[in-house]
Amino acid sequence: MSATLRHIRYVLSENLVTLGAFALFTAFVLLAVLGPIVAPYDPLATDTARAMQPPSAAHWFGTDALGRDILSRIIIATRLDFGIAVAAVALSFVFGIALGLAAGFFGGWWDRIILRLADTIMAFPLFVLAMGIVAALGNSVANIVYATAIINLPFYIRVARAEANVRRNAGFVEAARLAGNGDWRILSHHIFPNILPPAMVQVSLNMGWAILNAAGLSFIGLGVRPPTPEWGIMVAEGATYIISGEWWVAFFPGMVLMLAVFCFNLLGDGLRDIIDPRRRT
Amino acid sequence: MSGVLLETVGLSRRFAVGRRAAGGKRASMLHAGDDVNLRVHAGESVGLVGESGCGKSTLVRLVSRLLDPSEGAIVFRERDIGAVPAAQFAAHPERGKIQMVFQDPTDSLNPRYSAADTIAEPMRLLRGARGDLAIAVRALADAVGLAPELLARFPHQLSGGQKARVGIARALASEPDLLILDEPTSALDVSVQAIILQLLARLRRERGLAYLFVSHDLNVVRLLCDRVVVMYLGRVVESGPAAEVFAHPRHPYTRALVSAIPGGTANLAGGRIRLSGEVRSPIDPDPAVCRFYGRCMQGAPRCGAEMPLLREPVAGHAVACHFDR
Repeated sequence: MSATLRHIRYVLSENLVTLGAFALFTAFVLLAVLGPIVAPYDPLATDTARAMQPPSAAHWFGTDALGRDILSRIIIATRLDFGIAVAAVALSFVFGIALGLAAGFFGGWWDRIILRLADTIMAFPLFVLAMGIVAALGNSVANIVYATAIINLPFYIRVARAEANVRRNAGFVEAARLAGNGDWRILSHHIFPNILPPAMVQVSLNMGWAILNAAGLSFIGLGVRPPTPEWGIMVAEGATYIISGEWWVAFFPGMVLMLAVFCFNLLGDGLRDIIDPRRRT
Repeated sequence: MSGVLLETVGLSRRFAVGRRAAGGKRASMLHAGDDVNLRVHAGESVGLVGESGCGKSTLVRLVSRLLDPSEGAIVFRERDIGAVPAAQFAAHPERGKIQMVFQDPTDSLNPRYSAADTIAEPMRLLRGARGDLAIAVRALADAVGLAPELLARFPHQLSGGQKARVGIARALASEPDLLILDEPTSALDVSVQAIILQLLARLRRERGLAYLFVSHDLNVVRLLCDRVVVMYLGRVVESGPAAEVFAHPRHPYTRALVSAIPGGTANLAGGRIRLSGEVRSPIDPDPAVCRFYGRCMQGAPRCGAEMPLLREPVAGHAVACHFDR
């Protein structure tokens, strides 16, 4: 365990960009957990007397048309946006990796059916598919999670299938058979741990994408509904005021959204270095 | 030397190649092993030699039950294990008794397993060992000459020779009776090869193992093996006591092989034999033609009309050639 920690420290000290991404990620996670304590104002409290104030010492990110504090709303929204992204990515990781492993390892009909399923999903414009799923299942946070999970599924299937297919006939898999491993143990103990590094990179890239997707759905009015604080809704609400000069209403939630996606993309490389034992020295 | 440990009877393996032709015609078949009869006695070391593509690796995978035979039986300790599908053999009681050392020590180790994990796994899965195996693993590492401080390392932190030792220790962990060695030294530096070969010879002496030793290196086979089996294009062309086969090879292919041993020509009348001609295709070979016909310096029309069968003109020394004197 201490060796793992030492390795993580080594990777972070070697790569300052990864360190920055980790710091940013930690900040986001803290905001998600501690949001209600940290937020300076009640995110739902309206006060028309303070409406549309530009950024000031009292309201760092300004206030919106109903006089709500934008900084507080952004902070409170972190938990919801991260929650949706984490749940969706966890779902597509579990099912996508399991399906991809089965396709790549067993081949034959498994492979054909699962790959066609992935192709079918990929054939749609993914955001439109997500819209269709939410519209059909109903407007709820759970359905945003399912829709985001489904459109991300093919990426995990493809990563797991390609990696399992390469390793199916690797020497160490043959050796594992001789050591008494059955199919399931070979998959879980010998192939799965070896596809974790590429899968984790996929997770990290997907996370940013899942946040964008959830925000996008809310932006067009599907999924999360006002007055719930959510980055996508806040950008949508602020968009109408950009022309009239009240830039801060859309700018700050949009900026945070961008930072979150940026942070996850940078995290990908760092995660791979930490998980892949070949980088250990 | 006691009873027969392993015997293959008419063992064949064919692979479908290319696409199935229209009209229901059968796909072409690559004959990787054809009617192979092999016998390994308990404690005996049998060398398997032949050029690349002659079916050695296929035969080894059939016997180690990684591959299912197309035809024939594999009898191990008087049980037919060839009928058990390879995918289910992991749970078979004889699994631990046939083990293998792989050709490439790097490729055959799980990059995410430490050396100790790799060695302990067969102990747990095949011998039902429970709890902390550190002492047993350490003892085995010691037997193969692997320093205990290397046990916590991952494959990429080990040298080629150290990885080879881990592979050998893993194969020994289930206490096998038969160890299959698939060119165990071909991926190693020359300096390490000799050390690993000495280790293998010592382990066999100490543990009374039987070896099926696949190698390109005829000098190694001559030193390490009691008997030798020569394969050519999927068929056994000669088998017999190693000393006998190397001193008096009977099959023209074996004669060519033996004459090609560096510094070995002195043993043989006629000097170095150079083979000309093309190797016959292993895809759908004509069952009425000797597989060596066309490359053989003795080839005659009869060789193109009748496949020579394995005969035993001298007890224990079999050869498949029409021209065997």
